[in-house]
Amino acid sequence: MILIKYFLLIIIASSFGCVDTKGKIEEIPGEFINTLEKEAPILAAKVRDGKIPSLSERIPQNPLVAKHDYIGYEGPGVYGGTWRHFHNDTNLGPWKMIGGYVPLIRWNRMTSGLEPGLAESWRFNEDGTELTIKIREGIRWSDGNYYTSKSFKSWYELCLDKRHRFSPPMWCMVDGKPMKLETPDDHTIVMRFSGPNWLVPLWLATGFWWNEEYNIPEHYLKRFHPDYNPEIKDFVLYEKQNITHRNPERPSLWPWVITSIEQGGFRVILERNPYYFVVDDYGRQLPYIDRVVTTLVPESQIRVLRVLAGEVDCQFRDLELRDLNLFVEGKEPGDYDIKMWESASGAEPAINLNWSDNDLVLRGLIRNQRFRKALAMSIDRQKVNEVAYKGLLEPQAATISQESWHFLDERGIFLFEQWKKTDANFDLVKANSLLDQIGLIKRDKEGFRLRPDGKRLSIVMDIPAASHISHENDIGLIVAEGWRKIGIDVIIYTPPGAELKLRRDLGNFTVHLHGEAEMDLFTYPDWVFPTSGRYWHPKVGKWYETGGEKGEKPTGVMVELLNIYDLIKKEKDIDIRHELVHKAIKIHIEDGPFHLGTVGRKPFPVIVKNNFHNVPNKGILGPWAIVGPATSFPEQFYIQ
Amino acid sequence: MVEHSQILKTNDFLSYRTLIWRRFRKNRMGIIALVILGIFYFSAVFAEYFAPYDHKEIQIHRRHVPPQKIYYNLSDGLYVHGLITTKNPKTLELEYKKNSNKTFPVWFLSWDLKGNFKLLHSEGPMHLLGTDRMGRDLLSRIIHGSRVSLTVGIIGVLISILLGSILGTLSGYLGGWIDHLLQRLIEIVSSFPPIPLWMALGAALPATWTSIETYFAITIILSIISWGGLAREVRGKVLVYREQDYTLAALSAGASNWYIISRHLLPGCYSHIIVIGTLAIPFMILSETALSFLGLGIRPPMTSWGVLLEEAQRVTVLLHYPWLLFPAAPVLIIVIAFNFLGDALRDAADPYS
Amino acid sequence: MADHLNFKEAHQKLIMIRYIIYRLLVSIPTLLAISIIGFGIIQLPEGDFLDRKIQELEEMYGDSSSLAQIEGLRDRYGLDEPMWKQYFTWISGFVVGDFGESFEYEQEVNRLIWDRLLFTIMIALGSLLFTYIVAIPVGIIAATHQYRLADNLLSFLSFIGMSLPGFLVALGLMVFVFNSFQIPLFGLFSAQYEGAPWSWDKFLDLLKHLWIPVVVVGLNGTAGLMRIMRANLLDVLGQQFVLTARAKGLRELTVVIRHAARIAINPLISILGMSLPNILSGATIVSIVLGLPTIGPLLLRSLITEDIYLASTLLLMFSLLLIIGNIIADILLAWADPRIRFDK
Repeated sequence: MILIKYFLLIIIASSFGCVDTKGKIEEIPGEFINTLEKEAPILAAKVRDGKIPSLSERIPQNPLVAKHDYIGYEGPGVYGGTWRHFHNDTNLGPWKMIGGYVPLIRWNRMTSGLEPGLAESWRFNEDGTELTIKIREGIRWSDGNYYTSKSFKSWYELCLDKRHRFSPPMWCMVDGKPMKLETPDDHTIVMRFSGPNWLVPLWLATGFWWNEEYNIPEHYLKRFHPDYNPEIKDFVLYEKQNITHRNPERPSLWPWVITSIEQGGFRVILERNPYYFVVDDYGRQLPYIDRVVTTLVPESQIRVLRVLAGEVDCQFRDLELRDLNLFVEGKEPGDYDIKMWESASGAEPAINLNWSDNDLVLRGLIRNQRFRKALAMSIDRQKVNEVAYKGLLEPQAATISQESWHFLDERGIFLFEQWKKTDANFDLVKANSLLDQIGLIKRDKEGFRLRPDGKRLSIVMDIPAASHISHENDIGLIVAEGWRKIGIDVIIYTPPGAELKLRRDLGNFTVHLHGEAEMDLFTYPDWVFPTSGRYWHPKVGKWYETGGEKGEKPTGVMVELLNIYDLIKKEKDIDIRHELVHKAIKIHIEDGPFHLGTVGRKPFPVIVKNNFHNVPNKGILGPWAIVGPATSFPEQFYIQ
Repeated sequence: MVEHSQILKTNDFLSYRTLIWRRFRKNRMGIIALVILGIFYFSAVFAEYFAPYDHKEIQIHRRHVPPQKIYYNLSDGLYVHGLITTKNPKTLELEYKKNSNKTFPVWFLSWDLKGNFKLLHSEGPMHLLGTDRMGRDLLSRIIHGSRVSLTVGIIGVLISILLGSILGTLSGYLGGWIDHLLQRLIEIVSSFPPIPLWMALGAALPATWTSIETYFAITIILSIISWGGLAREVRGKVLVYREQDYTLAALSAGASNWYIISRHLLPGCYSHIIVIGTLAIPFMILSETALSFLGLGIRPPMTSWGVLLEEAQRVTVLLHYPWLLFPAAPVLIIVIAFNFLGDALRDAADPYS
Repeated sequence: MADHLNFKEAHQKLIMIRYIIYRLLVSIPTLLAISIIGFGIIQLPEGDFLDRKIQELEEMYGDSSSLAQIEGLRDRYGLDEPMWKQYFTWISGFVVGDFGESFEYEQEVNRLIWDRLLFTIMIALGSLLFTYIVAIPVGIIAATHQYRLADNLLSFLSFIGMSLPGFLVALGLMVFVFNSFQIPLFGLFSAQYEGAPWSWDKFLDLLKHLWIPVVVVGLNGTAGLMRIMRANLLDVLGQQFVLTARAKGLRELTVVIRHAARIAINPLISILGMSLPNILSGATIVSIVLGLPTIGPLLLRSLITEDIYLASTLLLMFSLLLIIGNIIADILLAWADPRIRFDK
């Protein structure tokens, strides 16, 4: 086999002569930084040619200064260079997590609080029914037009406009009523709610998708708006032109603006935004890097090869932990380093038991705490850790992120440690006795327990097809093995992609696996509170989501949890909110577990070329809501 | 001078099939291929006895063990060495060294510790082909996997051959509107690239079927769809033979269409049908590999050679654990065996070459 | 006398042309049937594009926006309409060259396909060429040396070639090349030519990268074809006219190539049309594994996501290519073997 390939290779390779080199990086000569140089040379040249206004006119008088309170920051950088990157989906989600975060209010790097973004300040009134936001003056879009409160206003108008597909997001609603929006001047936004709505700033800062939506370049999109252009009949074209990652013409606030999209998203080129409003400590306009080229590489093994070949300058996501040893071995020939960031996950994956299982007998069992405890205690977490993650993770019960700001104080830390350990030990004897205690004593010929209705106790576990998430498959096998040892027959079901998702969505599953990482329960409560139709509470959550129209009415413990969440939404004092979260966690500890954990705290290898600087040594990449690494200001990375 | 008795013998009436068998017997490679295939199918049926380990057993202390050798000396008989396991701190992978002091005897045709009768077993790490990422013995997995890989394609291919030859012959011989109709049918049916069709069908079949039932269904459907290729081939040949002198002669002598087809046209096609048929079986096996790769064919926890190869399709495997590529070998052997078999059958069935 | 011959030739040509036109016309209902069947099959799996999209978004972002926004999309994409209506919307656009829009990429289908079509065709044609150029001579050598060393060796190699799954070879080859020669041969272009305007150098660069997918895709087919060539040639060599030619004293080479091989190639030509689907399927899988910007990955993704217009158009396009391939194959068959007539 190898000989044939070799033979062919020699023939063909020799006929094509020598082959190409790795991509070239533009190198900037000079070692010290000239702090008097406040903008990139490329831009300075354009100013001289009169193509763009001078720096003081391009950025606000009060620009945002990039923070760098992390280890790994080396200093202000040189201008220039091209950042080569890859993405695995044409939606450019991972890139937006790096360079697509321009909200009014930002999460800080450790997700422990909020800081100003496009807005320079914000404040609530006494009872939380009115939020006033002040936007920095002088911010411009990438085409030079000013960014004003009109942007937010036109977004909200679209939400209220039935012809457009946007509708007011649920954080704009209090008791079913949407907010009232006013923009007294170009730099002030006033939101009025019919009740206290303290979480709104968190929502404004969460994820890249919200700020993508509410920062509307209305001056550009007007020509596609049916009310302003008599030739346009509906919003179809408008919606199409409003998609950032499909339309290079759309003005943007990003540090690097998309200038070309090739072949339907196969290759995307971004160039520096001359009007980007963020500067470094010396007032030098960011970003330092001139250009970004990101290529679509959907196949995971090809991504590995590209990294090893040194064709990637800095990559945060889409790399698998499984290939870590290859990355480590390839450091020297590839001329890069690996920084181990965190996924801040509490369960990789969590095992979700359907609280509202379609089978009434199973449902009864799942709602029995001792049954769930037995299942939790028969998972050999050490095995899972070794097989799937080379022993790098920690066996624990299913929790949210340990770094979450809910657990920063002493009480929080103590509570979290307790949560982590609850029912996380591997004890087949105890598990078996728990099942005996419930009354599942009878067994059939093959040793499996019988249910109260006489049938064999079988559980169907939904697992994604191996080729795509193979470690989940392996983990499913290990969990199934453990459960078989306590007399439960596990049937592993691997339907093709879409069906798996549909079963989850409709709540037609019994067990499914899902990675759990969440930093802020105020905005994304549904691992702990049954507030959406996902995870372990598909039908109860649906009820809450749809205001009671669909799904199943909550009872007992579910009601308690939902009540706590409703209190959180209305609570002004953030410390009390954290306490309410603690209260919910206690319920999980005492009446749970509702979903089972395996191992957590997965490291996230980040590839950084040796000439790529200012990347933090540590950070959190797991939950998308907190937009890592954008919260570390990647605009201040530089190449030298 | 030839003896009178011998002349008589050669003039004895021998059935067509006996003639074929006699000719087949002379082809050594064909016989060898038949034997090899027999061994494979036999071991597939009795997998539990041939596989030295439980193919599902996860052993985390024996992950990615390289292939181990069996030793022999006069005093101990057959034995294997124990392993010293260390964890490499940088790559976090397990590494193994032969433990010269510890040996485990290897037993032949006896019961192992769990009470199963095995061809070969040992307490020690007798992993002749190494282990995979969960510490499962690769040889055992291959043997169990052969059950799926060897059986699933056969039915499909048989249907395909039957449909293809009959319809192709009819199409070529009868011509006219039948030909056109069948041609259109073939076109429609064979203009679908198989992969999307398989995907769509795989997604549409009832979810409650097990992986194997689904796979059978898809194979049958696909083979019904792929008779087109064979039909076209046969039609091409028949078109030529139709114009041959012997056909015209037979027609003018008053032979029925059926007689002409079965006695004159089809035998000329046999060799072709056989070659294509025997090529189709490995094609089915390879298709299964391709589909398992896309996640649509056999899926874990079920094992087949396709699944095993799919798991081997990683850079780490190619660089560090190449023994996991071994399942490609039985695929190769089966293909070669079927081809030699096909060749031998062709030579035996077609008296004109 | 000469006139009589010319008339016959012209008559034959006329029949041929009539036949071609006839086939083209007849293929239209075929294509229609395929478009309907394909359209239906694509939507067989449960749920539709939006269901998948929502789930994907939820998986990725942990958020799926509010429900009402999604319902709005449903309307926009016309996903609730009955299938026949969706079908007519799609078909009616053909006249103006509008094949609908892709939900996933939010671009017009023809723009999406056009960009990648060129490369797919290049790989497919390249593989086809490779297959025939290698298989025919090798098959001839094997047949003429039946059961001798050359035959056994070549047969053995062909078996290996036939049984290696394409994706494994693709990945293996890339890793091998990378490891031994330190050359990254990903994608279809080196970094400096990607995105650059077309030039002779760019074309050469493309060829440098193209040989991997071409060889991998062609490998299976080559081996198989070689076996068939060998079998055919053996058949032909056993026939009467070959004996006659040899008796006449012609050189073996002439006998084999000029007379026998020509006949033996016939079935291979009719397979030409049939190999297209295999080549395209092979190219699909290899492109997916190697991450090339061709039709293959696009088709797979569109089928998984039920991007109906994109997927249907791609299926239809494949079918069109196959039909054209078949027509060409039949014509070649007739041209190569004068014994076949079409007017019965």
